[in-house]
Amino acid sequence: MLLDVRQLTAGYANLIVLREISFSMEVGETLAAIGSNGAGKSTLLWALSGMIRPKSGQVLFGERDITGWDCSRIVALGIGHVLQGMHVFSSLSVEDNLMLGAYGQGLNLQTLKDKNLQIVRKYFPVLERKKRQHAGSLSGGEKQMLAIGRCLMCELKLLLLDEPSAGLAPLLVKRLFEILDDLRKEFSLTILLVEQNAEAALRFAHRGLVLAQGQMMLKGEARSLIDNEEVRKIYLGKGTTSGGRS
Amino acid sequence: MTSVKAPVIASWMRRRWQILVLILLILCFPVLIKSYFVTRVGIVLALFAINVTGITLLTRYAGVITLGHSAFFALGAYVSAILTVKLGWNPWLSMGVAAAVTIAFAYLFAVPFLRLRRAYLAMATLGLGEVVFLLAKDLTEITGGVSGIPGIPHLRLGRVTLTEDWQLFYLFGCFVIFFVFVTENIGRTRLGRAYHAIRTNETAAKAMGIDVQRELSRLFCFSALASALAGSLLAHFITFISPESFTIDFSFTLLIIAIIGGANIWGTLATAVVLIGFSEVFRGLQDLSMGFYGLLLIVALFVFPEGLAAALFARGYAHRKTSANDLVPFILDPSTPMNGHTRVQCLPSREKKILGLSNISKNFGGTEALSNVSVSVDYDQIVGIIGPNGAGKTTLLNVVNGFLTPREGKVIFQNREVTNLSPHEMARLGLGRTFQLINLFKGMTVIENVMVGGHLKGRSGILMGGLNLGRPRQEETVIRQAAMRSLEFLGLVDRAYDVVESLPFGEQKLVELARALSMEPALLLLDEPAAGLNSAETERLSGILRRVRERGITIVLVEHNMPLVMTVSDFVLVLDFGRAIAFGTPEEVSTNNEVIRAYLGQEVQGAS
Amino acid sequence: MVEYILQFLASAITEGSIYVLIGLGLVIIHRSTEVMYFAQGTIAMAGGVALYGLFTQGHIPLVAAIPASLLVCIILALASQWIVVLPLLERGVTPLSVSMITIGFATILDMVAMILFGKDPLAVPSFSGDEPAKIFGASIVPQDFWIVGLTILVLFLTLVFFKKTWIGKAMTGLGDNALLAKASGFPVRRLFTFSFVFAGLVGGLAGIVSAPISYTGYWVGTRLVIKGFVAAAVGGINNPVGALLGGLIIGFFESFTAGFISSRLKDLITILLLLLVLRLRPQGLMGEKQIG
Repeated sequence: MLLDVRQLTAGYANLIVLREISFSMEVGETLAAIGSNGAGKSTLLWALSGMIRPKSGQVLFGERDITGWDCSRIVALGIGHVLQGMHVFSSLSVEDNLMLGAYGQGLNLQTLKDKNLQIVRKYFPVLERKKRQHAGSLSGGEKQMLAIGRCLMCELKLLLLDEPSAGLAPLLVKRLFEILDDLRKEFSLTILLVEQNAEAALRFAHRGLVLAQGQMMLKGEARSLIDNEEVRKIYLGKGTTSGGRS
Repeated sequence: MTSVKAPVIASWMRRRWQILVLILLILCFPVLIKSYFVTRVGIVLALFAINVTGITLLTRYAGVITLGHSAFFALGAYVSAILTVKLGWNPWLSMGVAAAVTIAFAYLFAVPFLRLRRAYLAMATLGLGEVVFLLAKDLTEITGGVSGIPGIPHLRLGRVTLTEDWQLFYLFGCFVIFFVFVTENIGRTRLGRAYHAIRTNETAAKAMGIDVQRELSRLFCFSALASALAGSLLAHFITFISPESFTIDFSFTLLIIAIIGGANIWGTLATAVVLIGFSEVFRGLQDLSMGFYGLLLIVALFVFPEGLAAALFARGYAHRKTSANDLVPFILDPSTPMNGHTRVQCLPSREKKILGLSNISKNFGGTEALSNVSVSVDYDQIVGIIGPNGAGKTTLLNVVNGFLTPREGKVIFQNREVTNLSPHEMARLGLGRTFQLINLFKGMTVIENVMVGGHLKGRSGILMGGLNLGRPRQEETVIRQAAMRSLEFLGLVDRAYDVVESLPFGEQKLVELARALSMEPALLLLDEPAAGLNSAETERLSGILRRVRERGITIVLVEHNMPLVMTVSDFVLVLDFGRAIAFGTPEEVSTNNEVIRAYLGQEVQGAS
Repeated sequence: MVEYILQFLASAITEGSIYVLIGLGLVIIHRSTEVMYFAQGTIAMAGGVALYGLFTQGHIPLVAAIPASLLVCIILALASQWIVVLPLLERGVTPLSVSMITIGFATILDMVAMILFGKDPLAVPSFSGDEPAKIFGASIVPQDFWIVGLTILVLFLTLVFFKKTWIGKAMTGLGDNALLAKASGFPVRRLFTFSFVFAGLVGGLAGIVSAPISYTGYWVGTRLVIKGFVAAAVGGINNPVGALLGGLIIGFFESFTAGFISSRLKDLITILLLLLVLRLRPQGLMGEKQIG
């Protein structure tokens, strides 16, 4: 078991967003966390990567208890967080953006970086082509690839992806998922994917988690959650009488 | 009827004991302390005190950091000096003109900077202070340059020339009492709350109808006036002025006093007495005074960040818990509509529409946030707006509210076109708003927060409000009544005097609703009212929304909590990528295929 | 005529260099912490005053006195970070309020300087004599060469630092997108420390090289920091290139005023320039327009 989340409760200031979420992930598994907004999906990732401290509960990574750890320590363990919104360091070059992905680890071993840089070049050739350009000048899709590439630089074991498809054209989304698929196959990468585009996420993942109002409503095999009436109800309101119109 | 007055006066005296103590101190001071030196110190203190009143409101209440009030102090002094010495004018007349000139200067040069971000404003005021100082040094023909202006005549009251220190002390004392009285009154009433609101949450303040720019300009001019008068008085006291008295150190000292003293005139006065008193008493060490002030500032901020007053009275804001006796009794009449003023009564009876949006488009940079959205809302309806993340729901609310102007399209509210109006103007027309994350005014109690909602029920300005006679008192009563009605309606009366931060999250959301309700709006915009609430609280909210509608208030709410929206709304608007993709009853919308696809996404062809 | 212009240019660049150095420190700190570091001028003063103490009074050779004075400045800057800025920021005090508090720190240092060295102007001899060089008729003292030379060196090293070292790039990234920096696991505290060390270094250098030109003393800090802020405001408070531009522009304005209008008015013109920039383009020349 790579990741074990137990009764995680988290939020901001005195606002509780996530209530007692529990789930676990095996190495090489892809888990999709879906739900409409306000459900707490992003908060889950923020709590796992150290951006916010959980209010209660436990997070275990490998054998380690990483509950409440600071971001820099968590990144050093190989947990990468791709924020929602295609964030890059716009005034630095693409190459610098990538290299800084390994900065947080503290170990600036040249060999480590070069090896990972090769990986990035292989999977995101466009980043190699544009490596000297200012990251701010990249297109949305390229920025997203850069964000993922940056995480790959730090001996990635667990990738936390926050709505990777948001703001991207469907073709790009398809391409992105293809690349992610290749990556996870080659490196047994574990991926926790938060998405609003539930169908795409569920088709890509092995298992799924449905969140609503900060609580976990459903868990199960991803296939079984697609076209699932329960899921639909959760998204569009429980107890809505459909009046036989569907 | 006279028998009624006595208890009223007695209760007033009990509540406002600080003012009485101050008056007493000022009266007795020269009599008890027969020292020349100490009386002089007292005079210097008095002059600082006058300056401090304006700064307290401006900096600690309204959050405007000013590093250049020495400019106004200097202007008051110099104009007075020049008019009396060079033109032989009457000192009182000169004082008046000096005050007028300073206010004009403040209005022309400082006020335009008020719309900048606070950091830039601080730098601008720093610049202004320096400009005046440098001009005083350079314009030697007018200001006497570095040597200054000697021979300023004394003030005269009738036939008495005020040359004795104790005479001046009493005169200055009167000014102090006046300004302290005004400042204290403002702090406790409508404008004080408005300033606090501006400082803690400017967005919400605007949504409550506060015209931020105007209120800050007036306050700024008021504080300039205080400093100008103090400057004139200084000139006639020392009978000689030079640029040395008007350096940046003076402005820093005022700022430091305000920061240490806190949002409370008594705190700042006490601080001023301690700081200035020490520095005057230990005149030999005066050069070290700025350094000591700096040290005190740093220490104070670690020990009591909310200011001295807060540390002593355990409250960050200048509010005393009013006793039950102070509440003017009111009768809660269930049949009274809560939207008394703002619902437009004189529309032709066939006019059912309260809000109409036609072809609203808005973009930020390259992204289209809203595309051609049209919708209309009838009076007494509850309309829900739903849609996936980034669909433009909050943007739509902000366009209606006036925080954003659409690139295209029109907004019609209560039969008027309001597309380009600002948030406070919309509030005046009857639009209320709550926000996604809690936008309450921290540091104020529940009832004070809710009373900010009633801001538009009053019109008194600084001087009227400061004197607190007649109309301002009535306005306070009306505002307080409206606030209590709201709190009663939501079952929060017990919490009225608690500081908002101490409330649990769910109750804070209700306070925000109460605040919007006490605006007595015709239309209420709610942004995710159920966010963060548990299921019991959400149930309760459902009921509350229906009761609000029964009171004649139309509701438009943005929500993600589907069960809530679907049960409580009459109609639902669905947005996706800035476009309106469906509008209908909850039934219709939840079974609409496009809506389902928007939420659950579509299969991306080819992914494994 | 040519000598006149050259003289004017020389003094413009010399004075401008000092302002560039001060402005640079202000920009670097503001970029990472959003604090307007009012103590920067006092740090510069500390450099000059320390040099006086070590070199003039203590007769320690320049080669040792200058680095020692720089060290003093760095220590003071770090002290302000650890005692004042960081603890308050971590408690949730707004950067604007913290900026005001750095004023307090500055006044304390001013007071200490006054106690240690008195109120009289302190004279520090020029680094390599006072014999002016004649260049095309313009008369330039050696110290001016030191000032401009060292400034250029500093600018060059700064450029290299930010463009070539990982710490420099990380600091740029932090200024760009603080959220991403955190999520990427940057050692944010350490980066803040570097900002303060940098500010201490450039500020101290400004004070040290300018001490021989005009007397130094405990009052010098205020004047320097105001000019430094004008430079940063004109250039753009988050952009180091802005500090360069801003500093030079002020240098030119002041020189021009002193040379062709009246030397008494030069400070006034600078402040008026500040007010004009804040009114018309508050984000400065290189700054991005902020909303609200």
